[in-house]
Amino acid sequence: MTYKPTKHNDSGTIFVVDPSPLNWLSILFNTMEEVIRADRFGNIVPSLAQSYRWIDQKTVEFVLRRDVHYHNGENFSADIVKLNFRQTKRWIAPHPPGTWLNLPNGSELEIIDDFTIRFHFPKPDGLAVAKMRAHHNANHLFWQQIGFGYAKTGSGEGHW
Amino acid sequence: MLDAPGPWGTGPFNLTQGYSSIQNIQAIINKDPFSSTWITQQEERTPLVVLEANRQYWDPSRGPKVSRVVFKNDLSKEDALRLCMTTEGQVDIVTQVKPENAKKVRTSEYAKLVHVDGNKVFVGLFNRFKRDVDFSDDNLRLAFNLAIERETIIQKGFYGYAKSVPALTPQWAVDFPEGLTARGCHANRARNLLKSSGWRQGRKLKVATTIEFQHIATIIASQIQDTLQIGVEVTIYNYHDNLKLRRMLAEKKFVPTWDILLIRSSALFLEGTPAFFHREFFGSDGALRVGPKNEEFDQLFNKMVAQTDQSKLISVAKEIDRYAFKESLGLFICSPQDLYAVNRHVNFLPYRTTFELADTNVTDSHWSRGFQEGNK
Repeated sequence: MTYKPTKHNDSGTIFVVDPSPLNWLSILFNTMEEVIRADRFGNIVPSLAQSYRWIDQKTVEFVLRRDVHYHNGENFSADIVKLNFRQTKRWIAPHPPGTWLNLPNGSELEIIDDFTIRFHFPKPDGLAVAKMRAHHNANHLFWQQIGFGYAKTGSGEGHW
Repeated sequence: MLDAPGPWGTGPFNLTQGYSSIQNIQAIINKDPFSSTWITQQEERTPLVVLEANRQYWDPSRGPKVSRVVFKNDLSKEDALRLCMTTEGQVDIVTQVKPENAKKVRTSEYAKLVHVDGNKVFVGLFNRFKRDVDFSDDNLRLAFNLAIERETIIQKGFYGYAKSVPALTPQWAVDFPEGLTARGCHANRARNLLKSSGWRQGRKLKVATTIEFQHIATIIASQIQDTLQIGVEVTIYNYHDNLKLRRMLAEKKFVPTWDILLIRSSALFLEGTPAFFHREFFGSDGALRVGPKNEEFDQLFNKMVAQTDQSKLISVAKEIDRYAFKESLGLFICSPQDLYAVNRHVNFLPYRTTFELADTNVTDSHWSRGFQEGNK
């Protein structure tokens, strides 16, 4: 297969060979995003959220970015974070590294406004912000067509 | 599963062709409270996975800085490295370059070597389930920690592409405990500790690892043999056996036959680092815990989890690493670097904990840019 750049503003193509068994995760991290991510040095930084703060020991608030669109043009906002949160909650073990990345049982997401959300936890979880890296925010189309297996096979357990 | 291309995300690239997925089984660590991990049985990758630049990306200062990224999954590691080093326009980046190939890449005509202190630790896990040897004895664990020359392992085993780590948190993590330094080799003290632990005369040490670390295991075994004057056997797990091993470690139904398992693990962040390393090796829900639950460790870890103030969390994270060091909970060895072969006209900026390409760009001399000129 040949890749012929067709536009004058084409900024190049790179061919990558990635033997890593975590390639599936690299594809995901380059295409989907979370409210936080890791910067180049491995530190936690806001991503789809522009900021976050702990309101109290059991509540963390994320202020979301207003200028984000999905690849199909759909707008990113609080309701889609809630959709992803709700879908992920159906899953006993949604994260390949293990259930330790699950938010505590009984966690709830409250929409404050279109671009502000709060997670309420049943107990303090200082790792909750880091765990958000495992909570990917896909669009409605994804959940209709694939949904990490739910839309295709009725279960996401064990598949990625 | 994410087994189809589509405009699913908001990221710097759009998945327009192919996919990269995994098939897994669940390994249950604890019934109550429930905890489990995934054991990947098989990767499913299409021969090509194409990512096209998202030109509406919300953070243009970050990228994307190339128009497309094509993952070629139909090349072997060896062919990919050869093509990257000897051609233009075939392979621009190869990840996971083995340290023994670093020199070849460095001196090649078309590729350069990019290496970064990353998110991995290489560690020996003591089998605390064993009955005939008591690895719950901290003096015995310390004996082995004092029996190895970390710098020699790094130079001979990793060809210099690793850094020693006192315990598990690397120096470049925000929660590295200041002042902690890696232990040196102290032969006499190590031998005395081994003797006082009641190590049975003639009892051989059984070391195991995966095929990837065979060479390094041989170096470590040789050092232990020389320092402690005991026999050492090395068992190597091949890929298939490694899957069974991972499941056995997670489920903890069977007691492994080896005494020390040499293994590599990685972290998603270098902040709250004990969540990724220490918990996984020693915590109650650790998939790689090889021994009964350690209440003292769990109490410390839970203390960290309870901190929602970041500075307090980091402070307890340091405390956990100091505890792991003081107790010699593992055979602490080093943090291997991540090595990449990169085409000379590609500016690749490595991340410590992920493989991301938003910031990567190519020069005007890159084959794909030249190709564009030729097609005007």
